[in-house]
Amino acid sequence: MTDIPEPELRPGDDVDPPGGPWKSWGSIYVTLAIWGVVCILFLIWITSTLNIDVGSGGPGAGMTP
Amino acid sequence: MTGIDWGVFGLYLLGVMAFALWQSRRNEGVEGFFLGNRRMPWWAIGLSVMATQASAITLIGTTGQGYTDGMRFVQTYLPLPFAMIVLSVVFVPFFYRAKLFTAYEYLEKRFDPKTRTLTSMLFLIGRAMGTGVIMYAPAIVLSTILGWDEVVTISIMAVVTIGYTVTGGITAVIWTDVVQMLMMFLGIGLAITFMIAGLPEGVGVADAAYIGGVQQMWNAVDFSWDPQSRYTIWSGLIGGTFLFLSYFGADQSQVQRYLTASSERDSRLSLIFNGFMKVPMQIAILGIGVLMFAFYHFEQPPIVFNDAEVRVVMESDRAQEFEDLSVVFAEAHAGRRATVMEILDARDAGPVPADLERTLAAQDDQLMGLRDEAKAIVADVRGSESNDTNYIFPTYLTEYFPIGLVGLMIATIFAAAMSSIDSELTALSSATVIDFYRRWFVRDASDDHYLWASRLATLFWGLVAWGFALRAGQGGSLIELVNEVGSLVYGSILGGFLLAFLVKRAHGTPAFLGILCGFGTIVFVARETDIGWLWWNPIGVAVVMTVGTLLSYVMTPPERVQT
Repeated sequence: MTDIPEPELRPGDDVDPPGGPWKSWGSIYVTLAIWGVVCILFLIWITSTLNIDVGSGGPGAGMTP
Repeated sequence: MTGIDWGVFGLYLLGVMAFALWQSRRNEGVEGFFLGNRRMPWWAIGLSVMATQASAITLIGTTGQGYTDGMRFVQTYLPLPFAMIVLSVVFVPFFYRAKLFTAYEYLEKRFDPKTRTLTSMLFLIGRAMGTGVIMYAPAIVLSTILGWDEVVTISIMAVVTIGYTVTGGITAVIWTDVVQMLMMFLGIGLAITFMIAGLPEGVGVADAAYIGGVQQMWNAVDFSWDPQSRYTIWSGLIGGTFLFLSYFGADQSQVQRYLTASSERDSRLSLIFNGFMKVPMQIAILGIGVLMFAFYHFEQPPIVFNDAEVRVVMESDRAQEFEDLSVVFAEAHAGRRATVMEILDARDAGPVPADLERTLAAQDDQLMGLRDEAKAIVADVRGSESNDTNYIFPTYLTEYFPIGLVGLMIATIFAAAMSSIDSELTALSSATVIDFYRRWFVRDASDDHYLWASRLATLFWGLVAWGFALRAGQGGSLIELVNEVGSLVYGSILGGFLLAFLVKRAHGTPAFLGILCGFGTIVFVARETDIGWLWWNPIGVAVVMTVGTLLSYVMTPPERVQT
């Protein structure tokens, strides 16, 4: 990997995460990754629960009212 | 629209623009115009990042997409949280610490001037066309409501937006986006609320969801591996990851946004904020489309949603034929509505009888056939194909929303478009002035000189986008068109950046040749194969990385040539 330039910090520059439960950048990234997985699981649940399997001869996707 | 709606619409637009210009009063010179003097707060940038991506197309095109195709488009957005992590860890430190005006400046620092120029040029080509499409979207709304031809509404939109952008600058853009994004949250909530409230008596949300399920519209995840299927979980996760890395990491309209932050910390936080908010928002917007689909099982939709097209047909010699079709369509819809009510009753009693399912399927086929016939008449009369996907949501708004709120929703769509267009124009202008004009033509002029050059460049790109917008109407779903246009250039640009960040040995000429090969490959794939656009980005990145890396080992770096 190419060397990342050193940050040029100015007086008053805040480099820390927001704090609270997010004390480090790592904890923020892990939380966001878990959130991404939760979103995927939610959509899998929607697809398997709300779609009604009507079997052969039934209506299919893309029907237009 | 009533007088009250027009009043709400006008007041909202004037208020937002006045607020934006007031916020931009402290801008100084070119850095103020393009980067807001690097003092924007992270939450405002975060909302602006969302708002720039969520233009009017998101409300119009994505709801239309949900209506015609169900939830499956959401798969494209699933990798966004993960892409935001990569961007925060890898891209932001490189960009922010290098103190850039444009993302492409970094490629000159890392490689050479020709690589910077090539990527900036690819961005200009792709983004100018995309901006044209974004300009076209609100014109659809206005043409539906006012009954004007799209050419007139596009032109009015272009003149207003270009004028506003030339005087605004990035600060005005970001603060407009903040207001617009909050309005969009409100609009989404209102749309869902009124759609549920508008269902017939005795029909609840669960019934509407059930009808959506019977029609397989809750198809949010598709595990098939067919590369020609546009949206699957795999194309979403793989192609979407590259799409978002490209869009947020290699597109000046987004990079410029997080370069306005007052610190690297704020740059990162703005992207993380987007990572948390974006997917739920897309689920809600597509959900509106599916709910609208179910809603129109109980209320009769027009046979063709584009009212302007219908008016043209009604003035032609095929008017009677079209009218007869509409009558048959209304009867067929009433029959299908009765079947749907029977299915809901039967569901309460136990399993739905197979004959009801077959009846519903036959009625669906009949309605779809009638719509196709009507659209064929429109195409014949107008001399171009009819596509009314993007007219579905505006039609719903004007017919079923209460007085006052119609104006508010239209204002939301209008402002959403304006804030995206001026973001794009500012990005196009910055790339033109910083990467070309100041880099190659006039290197040592005053700040005032570059500021005026920036305003002129904004005007120029506004005119180009205007011209493209006039031709965007036949492009199918707008949300797809924008992504397709972007994906033609994004993959090769992203490949250039990843080569710069990840391959230490990579150097100028191999990177330049790799990017050219990547772009050529994507154009070939787009023109000659049926591979879906979501795959274009990873293909482009793979070609650039492979060619660039191999040539970097084969060719001598410039330093060695000199010694």
